[in-house]
Amino acid sequence: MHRFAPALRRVARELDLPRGARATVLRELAGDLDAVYAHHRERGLGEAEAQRRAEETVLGTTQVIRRLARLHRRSWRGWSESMAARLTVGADLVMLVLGVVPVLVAGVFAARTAGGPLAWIEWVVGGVIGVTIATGVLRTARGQKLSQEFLETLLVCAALAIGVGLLTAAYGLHAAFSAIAAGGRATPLLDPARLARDGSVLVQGLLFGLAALFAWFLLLGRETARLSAEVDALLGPEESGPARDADVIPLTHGRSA
Amino acid sequence: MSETFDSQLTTRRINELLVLSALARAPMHGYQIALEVEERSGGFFRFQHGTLYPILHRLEQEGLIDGDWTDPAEGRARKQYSLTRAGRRYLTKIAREWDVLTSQVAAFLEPEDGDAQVRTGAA
Repeated sequence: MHRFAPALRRVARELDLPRGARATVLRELAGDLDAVYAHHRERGLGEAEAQRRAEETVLGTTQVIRRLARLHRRSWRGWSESMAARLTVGADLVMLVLGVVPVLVAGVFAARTAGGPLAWIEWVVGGVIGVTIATGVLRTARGQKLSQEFLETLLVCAALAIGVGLLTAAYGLHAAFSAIAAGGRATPLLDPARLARDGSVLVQGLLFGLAALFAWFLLLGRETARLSAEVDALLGPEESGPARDADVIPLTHGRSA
Repeated sequence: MSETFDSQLTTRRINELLVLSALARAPMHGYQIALEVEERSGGFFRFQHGTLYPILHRLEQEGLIDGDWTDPAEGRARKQYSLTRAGRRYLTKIAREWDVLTSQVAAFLEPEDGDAQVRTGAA
């Protein structure tokens, strides 16, 4: 069990946050506790004193912990993690198979009639989304972590896919109206082939984007669960019985900055 | 910045100044920031009882600092913070505010000519 597990458990009890956000905060505190402890030990302090100094520096009073919790509850990340963490491991797999895969396949199907100058970008983004989802699923299946950057790749791809789709539609409309304004011919606007081509890119973009967003949400849930399990292991089993006086973190701040 | 510093330089602003100026030197873990501030100030400023973390997390949410997880070869993963471009600009701004405030306070505390003469005469 981690040296600071009892102290971290006390913080965990006060940290009223969704599992993922709570695990992230506790993980940071645990890492810093270890580091401050090692720092003081290297400077010749005894185990007990080094531990006391580390806890004094890193661990918060009830007020500080509540302030920390309020900060994270307000954040967009805290909200999305709390929603994603509600998914169970079986349910997310079902949603992946029944939700993400069909939407992605529909996007590929819609792309059969797509064309135009921006269509190839949509294919590239779709490819990156597919590879990222597959990599994420494989990593979570192996119990490996998904970095924040990895998860954000899906969000960026979703924005790109939707953006390119909308841009294609807007560009098509602009070209059509420009042609009408210049020559009075309505043909480009009513050209079924062009409408179908641009419309396909738009639908393709929306479907790819939707699939990426859905996959991001499911993978975020998996990562949140993994992180929570890691922190649960760090904290060890919950001690039963009421807190002793020595367990209560003092509310005084001392000469803090 | 307005030369009339009508709002007090709050504890929050001092905390921001300490954290951001520590990070202006190099990216650091949370505990390193706490130690850096304590050592650089000769123990005058100390982040105790986890007061550093709400400050760090708020600055991160405001985009003034970036938090990245680092996995050392040994030991636990740790979160390392670095100053963003916006953070550097903000640091410059509040450091300038601090200069104005301290010079205004110093000027206020400076004895006037009359006071100096009285003291000299008394001596």
